[in-house]
Amino acid sequence: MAEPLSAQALAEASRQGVVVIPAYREAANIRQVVEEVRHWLPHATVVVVDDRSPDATAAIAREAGAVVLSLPINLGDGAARQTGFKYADRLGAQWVVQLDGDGQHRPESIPALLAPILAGEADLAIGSRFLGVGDYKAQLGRRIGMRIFAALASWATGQRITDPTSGFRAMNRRAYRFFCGTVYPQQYPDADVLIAAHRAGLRLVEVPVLMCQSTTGQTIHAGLRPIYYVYKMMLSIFVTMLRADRAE
Amino acid sequence: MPVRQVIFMMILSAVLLTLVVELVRRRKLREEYAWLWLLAAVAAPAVVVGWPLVRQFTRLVGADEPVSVLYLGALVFLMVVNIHYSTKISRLTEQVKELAQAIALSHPQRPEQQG
Repeated sequence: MAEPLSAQALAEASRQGVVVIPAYREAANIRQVVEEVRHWLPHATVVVVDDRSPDATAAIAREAGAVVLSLPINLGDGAARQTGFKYADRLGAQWVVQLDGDGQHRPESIPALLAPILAGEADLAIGSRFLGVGDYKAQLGRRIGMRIFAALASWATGQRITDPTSGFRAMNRRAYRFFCGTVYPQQYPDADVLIAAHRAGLRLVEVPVLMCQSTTGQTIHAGLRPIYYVYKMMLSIFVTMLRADRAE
Repeated sequence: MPVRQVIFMMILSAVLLTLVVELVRRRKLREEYAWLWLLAAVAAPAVVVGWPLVRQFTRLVGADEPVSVLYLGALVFLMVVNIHYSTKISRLTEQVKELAQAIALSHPQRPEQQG
């Protein structure tokens, strides 16, 4: 486990990084998320990728101090994140932190998440809500699904993964550039990309983070989507195991 | 094979061929998608002319009627066409994603205020 970063070290490191926040219909939350991230990483470039929200998400994010990338059509959470990674690549960023625009990922956990990346101990750090910090609660069906995919991800990566669906991650240049390629799915980049990253030779680590339930915005786990999600993830993991993508 | 059937199949094939070629000529259909339909247009009369071969093939696969073998062939053909389309749609989806991302990346909107 990497040492916690000092405020000075964090401020220094924040100059070389990009924080990617995919957002869809987050007009109510995006200002606070952007402002809190900027509080913790005062010099980092905060990028909000607006996935064609019909509301004022993009304008509010700009007001709050974020660079906004506006997708001309709604692409999905994975493609929105990847747009942010591509932007980071253009800036030559040394690291990327991704968190959701709905405020469920607490920015005060960013220093802990970033520590193993800056220390060079891992290429990809996954913020886990199930490692003792906070008291995240989910519905039974969702909890079972999370368990199954956590078990699959743990088996495929040969290390304990407790929260593969977490969209709160930090990565170094090698990892986010790997995710700029076709390996990164347009929707639901969860257990499958973690397995792909591991198979590509990237080092994964899980870090305890704070998460709260999403208050507004749209959860992806509603209606028939859980069934599609399980199908998509199972097939995606299966074909990922058949592939041999390497990270540069 | 009765002459009427042969004539009917030839007409059907000619109509199909004309339609496909005309669509390509008007640029309503790209050459890369036309070849499967041209193949179908040529295969229909080939089946009529080569009817003894169809009978032999029916015995080979253990079917009772040559007609059911033809039905199966047509079904398989349509499935292959649809899988072909699915791969094309997947590719188009990927290209649309790349394009949309490129558009977003070409106009980064800077923050309105710097704190």
